[in-house]
Amino acid sequence: MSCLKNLSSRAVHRIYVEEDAFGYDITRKVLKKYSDCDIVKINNYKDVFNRTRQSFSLQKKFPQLILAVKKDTFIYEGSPMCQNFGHQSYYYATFMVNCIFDCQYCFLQGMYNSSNIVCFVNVEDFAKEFSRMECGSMIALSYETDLIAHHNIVPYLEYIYEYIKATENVAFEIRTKSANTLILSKYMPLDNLILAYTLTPQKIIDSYERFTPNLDARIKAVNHALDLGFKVRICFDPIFADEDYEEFFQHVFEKIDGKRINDIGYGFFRMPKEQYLKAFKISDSIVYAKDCVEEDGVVTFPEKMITEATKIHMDIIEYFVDKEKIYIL
Amino acid sequence: MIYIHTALSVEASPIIEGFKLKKDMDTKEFQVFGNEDVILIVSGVGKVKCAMGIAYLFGKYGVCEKDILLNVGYCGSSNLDVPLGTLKLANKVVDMDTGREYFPDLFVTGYEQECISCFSNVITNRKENTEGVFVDMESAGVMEASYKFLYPHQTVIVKIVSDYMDDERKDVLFLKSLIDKNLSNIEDIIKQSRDIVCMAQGLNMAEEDAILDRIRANMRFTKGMMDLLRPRVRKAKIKGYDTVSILCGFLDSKSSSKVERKRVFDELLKKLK
Repeated sequence: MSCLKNLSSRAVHRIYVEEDAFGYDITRKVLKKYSDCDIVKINNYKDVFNRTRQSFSLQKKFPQLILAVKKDTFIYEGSPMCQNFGHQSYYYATFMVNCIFDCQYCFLQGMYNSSNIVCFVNVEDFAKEFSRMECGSMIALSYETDLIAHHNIVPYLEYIYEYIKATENVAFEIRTKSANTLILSKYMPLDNLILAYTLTPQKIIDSYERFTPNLDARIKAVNHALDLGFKVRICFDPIFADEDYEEFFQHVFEKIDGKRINDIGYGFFRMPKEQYLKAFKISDSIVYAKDCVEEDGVVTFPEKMITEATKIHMDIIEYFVDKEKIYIL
Repeated sequence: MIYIHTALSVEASPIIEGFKLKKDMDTKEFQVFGNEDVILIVSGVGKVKCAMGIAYLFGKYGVCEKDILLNVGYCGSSNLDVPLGTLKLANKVVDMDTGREYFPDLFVTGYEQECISCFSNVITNRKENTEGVFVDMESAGVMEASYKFLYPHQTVIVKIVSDYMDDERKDVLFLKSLIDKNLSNIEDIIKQSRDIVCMAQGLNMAEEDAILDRIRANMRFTKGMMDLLRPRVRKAKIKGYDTVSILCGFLDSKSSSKVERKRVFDELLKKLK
């Protein structure tokens, strides 16, 4: 039982907990931290998460947490629409589903019926799978979420760091837009751990990336991670072919030494057609009013626009970063 | 519209008086009362009658994303420490016959939230194995209807503790007083629900849709054409175009042939690009 006096936007106010999840350390920690939240016991997280008609936007304003035990599949094969950064195979793990950030172009906008945040608490079961992955593969750990941004809610890095360290022959990527520099100080850099920071022009952040840190805060976080010795990847992804990026690239590489960067990911806005149509229905964002085209089931910018923009952008980026370090999708 | 469901007349009468609702004399199947903003139905006891009643209301009066469904009713408590008349909101409902769990998206604040166990029979044994300690006989029916017609944030289940699951019969006036005392809370819950529903509203395309329907009738546009046109209008509105004016420019167009229809359709698409 709980009595919520104030429902402040963006604060977790209700936590649904699967019966089986109560026995896990993460659950105990989260429930202790959010002791004033309304706790609702559930049989299966899908009963809440997969309800057919839910208001994605309202749940974004008032996010609710769902603590659940992941069953069956822990590691998935990566989508061909994502970059593999030269690794022979690319996988992803979903410790969490959905994100506190609200990036209007994100594939999560049209992916699920709900924008409530699901946290899987059986980290050990995921970790067991790490050791079974083939040598030379890459696992994205922050795929349907932003693990670092959620660190203050569920500190996953605390639980998975040792497993990453023990799985030397597999590369792990943690992608983020977070500017949280404090958490990194607690960990030693690892050869197989890459922190991937998504950087976008401030205009794009203001227009499409609600609740995310500003560009300079992210740049500061990149430099902090580099100073600590972490391998850092910069993701210029998604690029909007109808926006100006020249000044932005100049600004980024004035502040960040391109030679210290592990690699660069570069890709244009793209989304599977089904998800695009679903997102278009629920979103009022100008992202979905852009003049995109559909090709082979993927909605993206026309090829001509992409080719022209890529040429202009690469002229700048390649000036600061070795060409071999740039991965274009 | 605010739809209020109660199972019993005794639950309904303080609300009818409080909201000054008038009986709808045209409705014979159920007792229905209303005014401009509120429609109340008395369905009878049990989840089946309740779901029937709500479906009847929605069928007769229509339902949209701006509407709210409130179930107001008594519940039993196995916890003797909870005073009679305490108002509870359901954050979860369990159908005790099927084991199915339902979850309203509850964003109303300031009231205690509980799981409500919905039984098909009156429960008079406090030791009954209940999920939680609060029981009723309608909430699962409300949620079943809600899942069919509404978004889960549009439904609020308001329960007022009326007994401790014992055999003791309660006086009608006493039962009425339990609702009466909570009338201002019910008003507050309605006000909060209205705000929440407003927050969930997306881009309002009602005006454009109405004009499009008139253009379609005049031009005899096919379903395929309309499926292409509606997203284009929405896209144009997001881009900041004055879509109402653009569409109004085509209101006088009439279809005299397939060729003319195609010409007007292409011209409309061009204006929206």
